[in-house]
Amino acid sequence: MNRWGMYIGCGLSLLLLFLAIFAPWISPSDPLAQNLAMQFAGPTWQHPLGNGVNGVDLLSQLFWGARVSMIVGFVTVIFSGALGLFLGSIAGYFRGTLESIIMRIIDALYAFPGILLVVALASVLGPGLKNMIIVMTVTTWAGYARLARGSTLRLREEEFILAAKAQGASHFRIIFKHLWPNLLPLLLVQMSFGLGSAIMTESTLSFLGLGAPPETVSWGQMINQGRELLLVAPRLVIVPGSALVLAVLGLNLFGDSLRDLLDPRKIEDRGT
Amino acid sequence: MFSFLGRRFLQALPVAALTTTLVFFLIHLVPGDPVAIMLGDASNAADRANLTRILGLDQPLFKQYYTFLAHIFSGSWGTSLTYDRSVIELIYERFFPTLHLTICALVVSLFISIPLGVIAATQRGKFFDFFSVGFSLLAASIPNFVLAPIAVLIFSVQLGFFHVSGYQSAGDLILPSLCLGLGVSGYFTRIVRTATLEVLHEDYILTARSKGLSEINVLLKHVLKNASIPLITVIGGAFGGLLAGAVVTETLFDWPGIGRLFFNAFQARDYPLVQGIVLWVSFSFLIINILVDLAYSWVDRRVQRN
Repeated sequence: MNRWGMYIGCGLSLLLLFLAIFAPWISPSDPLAQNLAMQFAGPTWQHPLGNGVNGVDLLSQLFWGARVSMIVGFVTVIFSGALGLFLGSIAGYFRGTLESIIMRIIDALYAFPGILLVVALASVLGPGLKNMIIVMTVTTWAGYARLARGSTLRLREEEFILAAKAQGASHFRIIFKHLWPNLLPLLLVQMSFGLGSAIMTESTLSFLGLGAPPETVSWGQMINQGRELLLVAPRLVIVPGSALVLAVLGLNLFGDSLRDLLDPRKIEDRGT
Repeated sequence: MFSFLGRRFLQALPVAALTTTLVFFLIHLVPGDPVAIMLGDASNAADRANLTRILGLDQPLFKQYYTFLAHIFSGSWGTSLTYDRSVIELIYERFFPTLHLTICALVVSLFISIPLGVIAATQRGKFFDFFSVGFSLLAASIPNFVLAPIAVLIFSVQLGFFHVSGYQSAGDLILPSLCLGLGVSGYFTRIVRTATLEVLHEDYILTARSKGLSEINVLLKHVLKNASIPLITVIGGAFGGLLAGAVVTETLFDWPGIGRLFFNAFQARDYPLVQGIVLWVSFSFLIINILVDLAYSWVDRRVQRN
């Protein structure tokens, strides 16, 4: 499982990354180009996955959808990871009032279950890629901050930090040079899982009509369109749906193997 | 037990206050004039001024906050713009179908994950273990808006087992709760499997076995109870996730619950209703977490002493 999971996870993640980067060059046609004569047509050599509503090419839509998912996912994870690292580490390092304030904000964010706050904020701000990134960053940084704070509380008592303090290193230097390099591996693992769930959230928002605007292609949007036409062409749901499942599965497997690599204790109790 | 409950309720109060404040600010996050967005571009100035007055948006912020709190404590929770009725009435009517759905989804996921996780741990490294790990990974990666349309197509449309949508009889619960609960069951399976693996190494299991207890008895009496402790700690969060996830599932199945009410509310930009539902679900979540803590201290006596 470990080895195969790693191969499958890395393979799927790399494929996703490849599609996201090269979508404009490898797509057989413009993902939004309409061709009414080809509406719901089955697979042909020109359109290997067939055509959707108004005859758009499904394969091109799939590639461009990967691009949107990855852009939103990556930017969200980097922003929220950075924000979480910053706020979590200063909360754990300085303690006191600052920590209390940051922790109360985190508590408040955790008081909203699941995707509730994301959907509520997205519905207030309106659709759009930028708004999606804002909403998802605002709601997910708390997880990274908790992790960073917890580890900082442990690390700040360790000898290398005490030694740096004794040498008269500034707070800035201790946080930047000693704390962050030790927090980063943990956060990276969390961020790789975060990427999977960001892609899932992006698709959910787009599915609900709160995410990608009509002029961009997103898997969630494709599924929402296809759901009404399930009896006419089940492909319209199955194609973007499988892509989404494989993407999330791949990123989760990748996160698992990254965690195993960085934390040898985990290898034991994962087994097989 | 009552002092424990009382203490947990007191601890929950500041969180509830923070939640309420955040929800109050939701309407102020609307870019531009919320009233113009609610009424659309074609609306005239008189209507806008009227709605601004009804919503109290012309008042100073602290006055608005006071009114918001007053609405909550008076039990009306404001008035929905699309339904022209009190928000709490609308929520109350729709809450029970959602509660049925989420409880069923939770039960379904426990029924799937506990046997799967326990058997996988006892069969460690064999085919069934591999199967269960694969299942939990896949189940956690399938969003319900992908699963539900396909399940409806196969089981309702093609095979005719269930109604395509709506909630007319208890049988209608089966398909939506399976779709809603599958993701959680993947997550639970993983937790049960890891917990069981840990418990199996404990001395008391060795003792139980050396007393000559049958393997089934060891599993049911000793392993299951101790392995369920980590599961209980995550049930509260999972239940909240199900409540929130019901937005998607209920929309797909045309379920008469608050998830679909929420969907209708944000589509119509009925912000008072959106605020009310967000607040209601997060309060429910707080209460669920208190109940879970209670269950936890009941299963694990060591917690109660602290």
